[in-house]
Amino acid sequence: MTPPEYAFDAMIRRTALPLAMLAFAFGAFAWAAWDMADGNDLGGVYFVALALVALRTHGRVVAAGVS
Amino acid sequence: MTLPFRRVLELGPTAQPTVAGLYAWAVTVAPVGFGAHPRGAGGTAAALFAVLALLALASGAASDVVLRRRGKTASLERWRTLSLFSFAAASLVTWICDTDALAPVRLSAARGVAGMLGWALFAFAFAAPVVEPVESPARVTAGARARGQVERGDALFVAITAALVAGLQLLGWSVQSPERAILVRVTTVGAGIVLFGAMGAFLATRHGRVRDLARGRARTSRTPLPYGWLLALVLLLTAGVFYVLTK
Repeated sequence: MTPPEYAFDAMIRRTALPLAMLAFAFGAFAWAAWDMADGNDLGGVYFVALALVALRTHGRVVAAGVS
Repeated sequence: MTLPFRRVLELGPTAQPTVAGLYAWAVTVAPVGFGAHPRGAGGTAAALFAVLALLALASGAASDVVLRRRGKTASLERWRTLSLFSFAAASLVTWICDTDALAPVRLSAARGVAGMLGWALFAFAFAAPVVEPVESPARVTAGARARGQVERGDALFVAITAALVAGLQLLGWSVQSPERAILVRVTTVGAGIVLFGAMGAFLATRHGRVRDLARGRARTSRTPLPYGWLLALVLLLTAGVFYVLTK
């Protein structure tokens, strides 16, 4: 059980941030698929790379104990 | 469990590399061995070595079944190695006999990719260590059993991720070009796998210890900050903004 003084902190760290990151990655992937369907390969590759780098960065930041 | 069904299940460790090898042989070796050959391309030799490759695979499967039943693990490993190298060598000689058969003109891209996947599956299945027979196998009890307690809120993550992944599959169904349509599908399926993986990592962090959470501000973990990844993210975002502004 999380102590009350850390409840909001825990909600942000353990729920809101991961959900925001999932939503960001989803948006980037969706944009990439949209661009690729339109024939814009550069945009597709860019947004796939952006999503992957963002997810990886968030994962490493969490592992470092900051977020 | 009835005896015949049990026997079929015991064939599992043998069947995995055999089926994958048979698939790789059917997609990449058999068409070369038994296909039309230009004059002087060594068609007979190609067919002969294609048959030899199949025989090597079959002998490997047969010896696997027999030796596994007798419990001879050392012989089993030797036979597996022998059959692997015989199969690969005979397949290689088949391809050498008619090198043009694997040229892009005669080998379609889809079959090439299927063959590549087949050989990769075969390699993975064969690389598995030999499973020793168990005298008294564990009993499987009927009915579902939970692996552990599901923390509150995990279902929310799984549901949201599943909805996002399903939503990705709605994109790109009106693309005219088949190649581009496949590219979009591969991208969305790959993105779905990545999102599920990320969701698993997030769930793992949600169940971190409270003590770790409390000391969040004063970081004492030895894991360094990912400066390289942060820099890459900032550069990517900057490049995107710059591209949009200058377009």
